[in-house]
Amino acid sequence: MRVLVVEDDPSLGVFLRKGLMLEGHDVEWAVDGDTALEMAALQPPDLMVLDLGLPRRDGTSVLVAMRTDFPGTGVLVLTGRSLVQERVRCLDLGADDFVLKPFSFHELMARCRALLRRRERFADPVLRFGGVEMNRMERTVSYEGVPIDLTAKEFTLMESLMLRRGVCSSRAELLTQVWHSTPECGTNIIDVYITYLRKKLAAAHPEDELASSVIETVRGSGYRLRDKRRIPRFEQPSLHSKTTSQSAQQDPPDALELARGA
Amino acid sequence: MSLPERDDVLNQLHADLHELCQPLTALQCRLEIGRMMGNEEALLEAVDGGLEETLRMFAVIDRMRQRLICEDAVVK
Repeated sequence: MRVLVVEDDPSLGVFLRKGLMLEGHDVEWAVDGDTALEMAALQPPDLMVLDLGLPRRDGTSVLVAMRTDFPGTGVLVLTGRSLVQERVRCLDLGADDFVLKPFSFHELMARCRALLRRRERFADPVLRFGGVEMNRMERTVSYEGVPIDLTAKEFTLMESLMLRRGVCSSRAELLTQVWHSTPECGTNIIDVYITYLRKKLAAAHPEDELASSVIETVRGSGYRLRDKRRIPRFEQPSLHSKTTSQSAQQDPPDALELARGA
Repeated sequence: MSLPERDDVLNQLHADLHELCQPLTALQCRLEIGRMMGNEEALLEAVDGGLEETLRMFAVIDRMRQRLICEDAVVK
């Protein structure tokens, strides 16, 4: 997830950012309230970790602005203000949760996870990206309006990709999220299931040569969804031989790289 | 102690508490992250960083002591 840390203390800011990045999040850091709101306007974060004691613009003011302008962003407040009325005010102004300083980093992470779980539960159940529409409550998926029948694991894999909204997911992340397994087990099951998804997307619209390209292989990194309107012309199948394009899209990367190395 | 004086003292206490919380939180985060990473370099960095934070805390405590000494002198 995208996290924006708003903390003026350099030492704490550096290590909050570092720790959140170690947890696998995409983290930005702002040292004051005005900068935080400018950064949120450029790219709204999924979560803001907000210190109340900020220079130039108080954290409370930032909290109010975030609730008004970015209601989809979770806000976790960090505060050293121990008075009950301060904490109550903070929650009433729209904070999803708060952590009192000093705190354990592990507690902070657990509260971030809990906050995101709560937000997901009440969020719009329909995800849309790259022509794919997924209703997470009804467990249905369609591509360009045509329903696609996915197995449970295929659905969960597609869901993981859609929740990232075009950001690359590594094989390790997908293995953990979908199969609750670890990369050490040496399986290429991710690649196999990506192939299944690509085939089903292509089958939904046989005349659409770009359907299976909606899931992009990011060499050395993993997979991501992309809007087919953003597929570069040199990647479009009609400009290459059918054999080359089909093998590039359907073969698991491990097999393809082995063939190139031979 | 008059109400304004009491408010001043309380406000100063809040400020001191905030000043202490920052390096203490940073110390805890540094040590926990060092342990999470687990390698020798990360642990050494955590220890070095932790010592920097304790120096910050000593500085805060020193300022608090100085203020107490001044307050004490004013009262006398």
